[in-house]
Amino acid sequence: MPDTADDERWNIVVREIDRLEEVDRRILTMTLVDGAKPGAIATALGLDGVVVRQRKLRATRKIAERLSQLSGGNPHCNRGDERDDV
Amino acid sequence: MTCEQARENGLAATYVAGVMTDGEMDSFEAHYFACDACFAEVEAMRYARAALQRPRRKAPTLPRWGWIIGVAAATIVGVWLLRPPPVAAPPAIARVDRTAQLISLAKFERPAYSPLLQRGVDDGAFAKAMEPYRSGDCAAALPLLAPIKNERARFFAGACLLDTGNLAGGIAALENVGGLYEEESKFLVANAHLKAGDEKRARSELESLIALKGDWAGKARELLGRIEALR
Repeated sequence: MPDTADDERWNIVVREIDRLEEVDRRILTMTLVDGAKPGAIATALGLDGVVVRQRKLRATRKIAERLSQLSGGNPHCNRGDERDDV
Repeated sequence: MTCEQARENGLAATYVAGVMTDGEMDSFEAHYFACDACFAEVEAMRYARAALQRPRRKAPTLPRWGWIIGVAAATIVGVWLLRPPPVAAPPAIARVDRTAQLISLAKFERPAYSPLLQRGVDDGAFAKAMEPYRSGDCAAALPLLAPIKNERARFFAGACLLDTGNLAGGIAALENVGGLYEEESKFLVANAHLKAGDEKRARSELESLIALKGDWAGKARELLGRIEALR
């Protein structure tokens, strides 16, 4: 049986990605699919590294926030002050 | 690690892209397995990655003289409509049904665990983490499993993520499991991909599992056969 919650998440992400500016979509593709670092993406697209980094963060946050609305708002960071080596 | 550090450095995307070093991955996993916010971000990036790999349809653009094209197109469509219907053209609904059927093939059963059957090092933190797991409380087991750095803990943490409905997180965790739990992890990952409607990845995972020629090859072959039967 199809998982309608998963389908809904999928549709939301596809829609958000389609709404992104072309340059943001290319940055995300190069990051997530090609595994490229911001420096390499900046060189390939002729952009400043800082711009690539900011655009990437903005695009990823937009998608994550949109998805989190499905589950009732932004999830909490519940590991904010913990050490990982204990 | 804090959420702020993880977010500022875009670690969820780097993790999903699979380009972290082992050390970075260990550190990030220890954080995000127990952090709702970073969990959600990893899940979003998994979906985004899959969506970006799909072929995109270009939005139609209409030039100023678009009405001429419109009239011509309408004429062509009119002529085309008068033709007898194509015999072999599958209706769109058939593709939707097939995806639904594929998804219905996905099965998940929380892997069984019994301390009596696990010889050796079932002590301390792992044994404590597996207490809620055995009673079916994956949400409680997850934060206890996350800090433990071995394949077995990673495996059960991944299974827990799938059990709690976190497909993307479960896949991400189980893809990195090797050793004794590698085959079962692959089988769980294949089913999770199937549940997400990603046939290509499910097939790829099953094929690599079959290639290992281990205990799980038979189950993998059977599931692959059921996928093939839908073609």
